[in-house]
Amino acid sequence: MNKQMPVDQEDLVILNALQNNIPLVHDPWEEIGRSIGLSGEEVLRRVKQLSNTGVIRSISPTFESVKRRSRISTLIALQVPDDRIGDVAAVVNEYSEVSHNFRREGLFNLWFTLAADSDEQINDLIDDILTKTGVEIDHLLDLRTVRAYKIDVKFPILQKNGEDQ
Amino acid sequence: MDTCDLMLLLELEKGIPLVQNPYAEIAVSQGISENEVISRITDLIKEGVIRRIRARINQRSIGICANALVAWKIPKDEADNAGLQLSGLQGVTHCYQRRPVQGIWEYSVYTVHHGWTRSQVTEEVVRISEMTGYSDYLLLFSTEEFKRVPHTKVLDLEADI
Repeated sequence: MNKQMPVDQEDLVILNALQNNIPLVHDPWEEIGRSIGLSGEEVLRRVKQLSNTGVIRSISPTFESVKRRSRISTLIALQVPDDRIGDVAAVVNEYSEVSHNFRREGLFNLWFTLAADSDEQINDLIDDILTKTGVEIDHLLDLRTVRAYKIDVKFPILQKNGEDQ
Repeated sequence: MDTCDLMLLLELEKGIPLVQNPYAEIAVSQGISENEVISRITDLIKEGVIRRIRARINQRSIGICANALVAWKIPKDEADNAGLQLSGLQGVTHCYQRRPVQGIWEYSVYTVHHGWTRSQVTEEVVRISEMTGYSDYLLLFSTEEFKRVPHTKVLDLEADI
């Protein structure tokens, strides 16, 4: 799924423009092209290709967090033996209340987010997950969200200074 | 925000069509004019319902594979200021204040950073630490993505209507 796609410098410049803003005009590709020195046709051709190869997931709105339905959320960290992490992650992934689930380096090696309508629901979900996975309660951190400051994902696309080590 | 806005947002959330005049094509599907599509989106931005239209990028597919969650140990009464400050910095894609686990896990503010290489991410976090004076932190690099879905759905907005 995360296979690397070949992209050239023009693709990167386009992606960088696209992650910032799509203009609200009759031909947005033309306007983007003007700002980066490419024709509108070339921008659209490349956008289609980047979309077909999965580099662009979608071109869609970012919703302001303040307008969202209020939900209780938390970040859960689990300490799982390395040979069990795939199984535990699969159980966690089953829950629709889980939006992100990552393996990370460190003593606590599985990190996922939980969102529900109340603290009680979150507590129940945690109990359920512990039961299903067999992870002990003292191998869990429940880091309830006090305040979300910002959800605005932009990547340093043009700061490609050197190859992966 | 009215029903027409909601229908428009549901359509936009699927992604704008990749054609020369995407708003004109959306207009046809909504039974309104292209000008109305554009003016409604402009109003939704002004009203603060949406921030902008942009591409969601699968950063890993182009090689931006380094991703770190940084846990900052900041005293409770300073945590909110720290969150406000860190969330305003370029390179921070998410920022949360969280309830620490007393005596076990005293980290109260969390940021997420992305880069082409681990050293790029590490350098950025070191720079932020030096600039802010928040010196007690943990860098938690991700090594595998098990699940990742967008947080927000138009349906979450419906309660506001």
